[in-house]
Amino acid sequence: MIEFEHVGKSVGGTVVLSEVNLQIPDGELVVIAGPSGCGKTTTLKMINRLIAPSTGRVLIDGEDIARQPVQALRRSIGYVTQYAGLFEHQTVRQNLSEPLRLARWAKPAVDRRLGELCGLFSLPEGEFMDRYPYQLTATERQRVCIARAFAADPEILLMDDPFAALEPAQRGQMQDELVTLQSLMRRTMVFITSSIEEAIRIADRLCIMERGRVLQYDKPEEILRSPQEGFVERFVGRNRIFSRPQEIRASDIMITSPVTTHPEVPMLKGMEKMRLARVDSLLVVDEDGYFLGIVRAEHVHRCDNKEEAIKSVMREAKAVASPDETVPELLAKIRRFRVNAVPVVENDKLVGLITNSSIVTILSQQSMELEEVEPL
Amino acid sequence: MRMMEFLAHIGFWPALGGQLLLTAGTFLLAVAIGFPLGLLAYRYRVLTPPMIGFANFLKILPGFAVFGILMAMGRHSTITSLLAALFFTILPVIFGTEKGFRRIGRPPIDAALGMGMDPATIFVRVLLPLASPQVMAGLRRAGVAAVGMVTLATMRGGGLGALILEGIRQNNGSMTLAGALPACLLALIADLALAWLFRLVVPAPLRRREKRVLYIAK
Ligand SMILES: Nc1ncnc2c1ncn2[C@@H]1O[C@H](COP(=O)(O)OP(=O)(O)OP(=O)(O)O)[C@@H](O)[C@H]1O
Ligand SMILES: [Mg+2]
Repeated sequence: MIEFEHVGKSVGGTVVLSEVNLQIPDGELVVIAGPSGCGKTTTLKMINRLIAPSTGRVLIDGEDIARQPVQALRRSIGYVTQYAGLFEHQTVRQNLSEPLRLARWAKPAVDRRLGELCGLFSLPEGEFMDRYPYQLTATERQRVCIARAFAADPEILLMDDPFAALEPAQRGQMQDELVTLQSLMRRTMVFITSSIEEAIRIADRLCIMERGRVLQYDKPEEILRSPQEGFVERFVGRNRIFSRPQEIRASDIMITSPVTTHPEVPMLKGMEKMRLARVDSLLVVDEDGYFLGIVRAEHVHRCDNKEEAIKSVMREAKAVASPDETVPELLAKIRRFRVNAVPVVENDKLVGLITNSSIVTILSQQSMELEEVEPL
Repeated sequence: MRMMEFLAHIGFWPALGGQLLLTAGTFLLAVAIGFPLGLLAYRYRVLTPPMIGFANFLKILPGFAVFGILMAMGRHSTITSLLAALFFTILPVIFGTEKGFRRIGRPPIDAALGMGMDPATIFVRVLLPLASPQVMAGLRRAGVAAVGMVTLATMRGGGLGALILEGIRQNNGSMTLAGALPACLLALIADLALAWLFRLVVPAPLRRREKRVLYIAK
């Protein structure tokens, strides 16, 4: 557990960080996101004491790191610098061995470890290990950088915007690999990015910073669901709020005042209501708001006596949803029951309606491909 | 044999010996003083502008004119001149060192610190190799400068400069050439030797880049 307690930093009169309080639980991938210059790097560098706080303290497992021997502390923390941090004069092998050399590993152990690292980070062994950084592609460089940070198998990893220099496609792939790696290794990772997409994609927990302050620190889905008003909302972006279909819930996209009718209403009036509201069905709700069923226009038409109460042609809904069902679940329901709308019911009361078209509209607004949700 | 006699007659051998000794001495002293000064200029940012500025100012002055001024001022003892020669030789060393270390930038240093390297190890294993292309390029220029400056500084005796000046004064072409040709040859040799040292010292991947930079610069 890494803790920031009332951490502040000022450099020559300007306040770079103020009142940062953070708890980074063991084994989580915590992403610090924010615009350029908001103090992300400064925050990160306090964990391995490359920068000392002006006020407050940083603790690891309850111990103030300022009191620990600095080199031992740093050797227990892997670090990927912002911008290229590889040693240009050393080969890949030398770069990767450097932390092991510092930890005084024996040669056979080093060789074994290098092999492991190659496996973990999809680095080709053999000739590749004797290349120099300038001979690598941007992706390979980043892989080596991260592999080097992992080399001595530290419990904590700090990564300062490691994918910033990559093309979008490679970037996505590296993000996926990092998430996979993290699910295998369960290290405590602090990852910095200025891209909110990247943050959402990989974070177990997300910390949004602006101008030296932590604005919101929570699970990414929570931040997406209820971003703090103002900066966070803008930073996360209206369109991106709920950008993952898994995080969009029925209550977020349902029509909250669907066209309803009382069961005792005569059919004629019901038809009139449908005509005015331009809908082909009505949701039947009693005076207490309990959901009873659906009346379709076609069923009303087929009935001869239009004076009869509408409940006589009412059918039970084929599918209903609860407010916290997610978009993939809703889509699956719509497909399975071949309906174009699903009433949303909570404690037997009608709270809203999901229509096929409203889901599709939401997804297309987010430029989300439907294929992505189909497997669910 | 007439040539040998001629050379002996004009005092070529002592002049050459003096020239070699003084050049080597000036060069080594320049490195010994210039490298730490360059490091200081790199390490303490406040020092950088005045030091580099002053060095730049000196660089602008034509060497020959400076020695002329020294002579005119009457302080033309060989010692004073040699000090001036040393000054001019130090400049490229300071420049090269400062530039070499400056352009390393933060990331490798942070990476090294972040791994838990101690400062001495960082200096030897990371900074020095990374700065070596510019440092060595500085040494190379300093080596060539040393030959030229010592030649100028010894116009009053002690090196090949004396032969050149004396030859000009006596309108003795052979004598002038006896001073000038070896001086040129010496400059070439110094340049080649230091180029070889450059290849020896600078790690391969950095050599490659340095080459490109040099070509652009030239
Ligand atoms: N040594 C320093 N002296 C003065 N100001 C500094 C210093 N270091 C950082 N700052 C300032 O502190 C602020 C935060 O810097 P920091 O490097 O932490 O930002 P960042 O969030 O990492 O930005 P980026 O995304 O561009 O890397 C910036 O406004 C920067 O100008
Ligand atoms: Mg930064």
